[in-house]
Amino acid sequence: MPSLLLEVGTEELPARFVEPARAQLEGVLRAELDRERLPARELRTWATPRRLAVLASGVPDRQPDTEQEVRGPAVHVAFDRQGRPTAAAVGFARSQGVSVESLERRSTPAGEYVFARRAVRGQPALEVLRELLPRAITSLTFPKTMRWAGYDVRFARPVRWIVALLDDRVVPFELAGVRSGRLTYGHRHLSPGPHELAHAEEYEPVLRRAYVLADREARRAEVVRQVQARAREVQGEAELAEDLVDEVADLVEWPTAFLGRFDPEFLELPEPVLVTVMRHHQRYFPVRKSAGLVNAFVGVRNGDEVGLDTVREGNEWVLRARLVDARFFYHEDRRRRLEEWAKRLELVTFHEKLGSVHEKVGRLVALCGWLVQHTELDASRAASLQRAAALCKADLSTHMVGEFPELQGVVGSIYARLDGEPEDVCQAIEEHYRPRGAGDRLPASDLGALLAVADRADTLAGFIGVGIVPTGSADPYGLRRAASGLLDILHDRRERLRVDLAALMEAALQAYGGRAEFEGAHRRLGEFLGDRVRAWLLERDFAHDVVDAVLAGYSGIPDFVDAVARAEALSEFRTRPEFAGAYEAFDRAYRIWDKQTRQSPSPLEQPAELALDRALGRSGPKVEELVRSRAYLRVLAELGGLQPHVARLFDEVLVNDPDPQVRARRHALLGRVVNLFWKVAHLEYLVVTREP
Amino acid sequence: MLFQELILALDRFWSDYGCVLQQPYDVEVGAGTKHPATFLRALGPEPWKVAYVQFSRRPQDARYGDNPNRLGAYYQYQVVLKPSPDDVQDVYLRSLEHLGVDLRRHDVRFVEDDWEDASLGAWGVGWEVWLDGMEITQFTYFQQCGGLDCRPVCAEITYGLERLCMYLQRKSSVFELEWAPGVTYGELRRQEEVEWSRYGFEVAEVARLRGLFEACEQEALKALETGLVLPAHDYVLKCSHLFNLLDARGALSVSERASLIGRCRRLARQVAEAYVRQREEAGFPLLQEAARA
Repeated sequence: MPSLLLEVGTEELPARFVEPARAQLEGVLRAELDRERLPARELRTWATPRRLAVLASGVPDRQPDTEQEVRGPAVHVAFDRQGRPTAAAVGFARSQGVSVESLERRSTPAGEYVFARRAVRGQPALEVLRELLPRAITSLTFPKTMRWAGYDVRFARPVRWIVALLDDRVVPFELAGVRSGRLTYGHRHLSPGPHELAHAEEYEPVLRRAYVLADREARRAEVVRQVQARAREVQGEAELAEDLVDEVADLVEWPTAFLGRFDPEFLELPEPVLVTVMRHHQRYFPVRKSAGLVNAFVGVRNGDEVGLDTVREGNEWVLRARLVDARFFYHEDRRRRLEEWAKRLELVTFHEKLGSVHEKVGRLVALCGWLVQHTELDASRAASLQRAAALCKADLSTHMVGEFPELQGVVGSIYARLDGEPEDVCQAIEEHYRPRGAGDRLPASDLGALLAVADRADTLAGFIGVGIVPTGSADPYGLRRAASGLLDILHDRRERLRVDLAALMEAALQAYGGRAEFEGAHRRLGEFLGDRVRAWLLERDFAHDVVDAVLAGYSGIPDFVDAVARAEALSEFRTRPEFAGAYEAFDRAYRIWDKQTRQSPSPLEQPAELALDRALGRSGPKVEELVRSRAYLRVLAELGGLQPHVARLFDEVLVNDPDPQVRARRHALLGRVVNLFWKVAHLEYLVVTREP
Repeated sequence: MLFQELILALDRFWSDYGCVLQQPYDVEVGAGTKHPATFLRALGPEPWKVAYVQFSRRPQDARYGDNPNRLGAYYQYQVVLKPSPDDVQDVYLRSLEHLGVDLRRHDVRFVEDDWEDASLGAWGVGWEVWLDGMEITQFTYFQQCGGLDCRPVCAEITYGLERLCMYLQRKSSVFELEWAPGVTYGELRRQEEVEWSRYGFEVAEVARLRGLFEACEQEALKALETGLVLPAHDYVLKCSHLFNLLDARGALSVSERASLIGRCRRLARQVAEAYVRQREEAGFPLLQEAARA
């Protein structure tokens, strides 16, 4: 069975698009081939900045024959009262190429319809692929697309050639003015081509001869190997950050690493600054020895060894200019203390609707004051927190952060240390941006955590408060990330920072001073944070029904830390033998209980009623006490003890007594049972499969 | 290669390619994009090929002539090809070879970098081009201009002349560049950097600049009312430059900043729409020219 090769040649794709596009192409082509009844035996994919390619081997030559059913008009339209076919039936049968007599009647949820059943002959693969391949290409999605020239196609970057071969035959089609063919192109400068492919299977060897290492994993491994080898030339180790390796591997088609050096005098710059210049701005790998960074770097060139010394010299020269720049910024910045830079934050926008960062800092200082009341910080640490809040954003107005925004926080803490600020202040400044994303470390220090909480609470109260709420996948201000970071920290600090999320957000809103744009802020925050808390719990593998049962107990913004404690207790309790009895007590009471019943209209008489009343009387205060200390598991265990009394009630009396007075007092009793359980969670949301 | 020879070489190359060699615009602009030869010609269906040098003012980036790499004003070499040719990257790379860069011995990369100018309502998708790690060119496929979709899309190639020349001459300070035999870039421009830095950061009279912004905005609107697209465009450019001066002076509050950008953008949009109308009324002359050719 033949092999199908598709290669989409493009102008340089953004490095971050390459690998996702490769994976997508594989999925899209597999799905399309299956849908068209041309399933491939095996798929191989390649991706570089200039091409996305897939080789599907074992594709059938033609589709198998099949039958197709087509729904026609409704029966009452297709046949007249005498049962004779109408013009509608005749027309439908003709359009389907079948005889009127062969139409079948069938009932569907929408009523009775006529159907045509016809044999569909499988098409040759080549014919099907002419439609399928352009569809597969245009169905690829990217974070951002563009148009070019006068074409109506959107893609990540312009498409410049397409190879489409079924074994040795071209699958002909056209896309954005490009005709598919058998010509591919090699490395831009080393072997541009065009190179002719006689057969689909020749793809990889032809590219390799044309200086294109198309296999993404092989290219990545090659980058790692070469970079490490170059670093060892100076007895160092390259800092192989995963994301940088990925990016570099997807910036080149033929990697060749080289070792460059810079003047050791630049080692006076703070290490994070050197690393940022090398890594983020030049895509170099810094080189380290045990004593720290050395004055060398490893770069990766898109090409071979020819002229490598020229390339090295050029890159060394560029890095020197960058470092001169950085040193200039560093010395300029150090002419003032950090607190003086803080005064310039009036000119730094937080958000158009939310004012300047200077205003934000004012709110952070206030919010930190509020937070201190919920911790056991002593006075000097509380003062440090206020100081850190006042300084934490100051670096946003420095030259260094203006040039290297990713160093926000880091630069602030370095400058604070040079200013002689207390160490806990410096650490908090650096840590308050953590976690920067999923999987990043949380603030290690108390002050860093508190400042991070204040910063995120302020951001969320402000943005969500004025109605800037993330929708779908669009979250330009990273509000979901801010929320999950906030929840992570609150959870991490639950023992020492006792703060109700709702109260925290209320305090954060207060700091904005009740402006008109904040109309409806509580409702929006309740919805947004309710969703985030739910997502947080689900991500930690709490069962859906447990999460529902717990969150049903809150209106508005849930008390997050408390909700986690409840979810943990309920999840744990569920695995215990006592659960069945406790749940039964709740379930029987809840099912029959009429929620309108408020109080007992007549005194209890029956022994079963009195026994349950006494049991509730004993449990009530204990439950109150345990809830106060959040010992929810013990609450549930305690409530399990109600089971025999509830069971006895059902055994000995008829709850729905014909006498409304009697009925009401029994419902009231059951209501007390339900309400005690509700102090932990709404157990009616649990999905419990009963033993048979 | 002398600074002036670099300009001559690029002129030669793009003239041979078939570009109109236009001249720098005489209103202060922050980038070659604002020259009517780009901002307006990028709009509408007419084909267009142009190249020119544009002196570009960035008051915010001024450094009193102290920083070897930062300038409050610099020269861009701007090329616009509309519609974007299918081989536009190859043409660009040939221009580097024309400057004596042996592509086989160097490392040229196209690194993702999209471009946006909020005050013009313009954005595009493209790269910065790296030569041995040095960013020498901004390469952009315009998607929108003046808030209008670009159809067809043009390619804009902007060479940073100082950067490119520093690389070619291996000079570590822009002021040491040889402009002409025996005359440095510093000789021609350093005093300008010093004076404009002082003016922009210390001297500019904020209230008067605000007044000028208002006045220019009014003139732009008046020109628009009377159907005068090009005068309107000039006044939008003046507004945009005054905004940059106010911004560099640190005179703008957060909300005022946003509001001034919005006012520039609204004017730019009206100019863009008026220009397209005007060309349409004229029957899109360059489209007919192309059809005849």
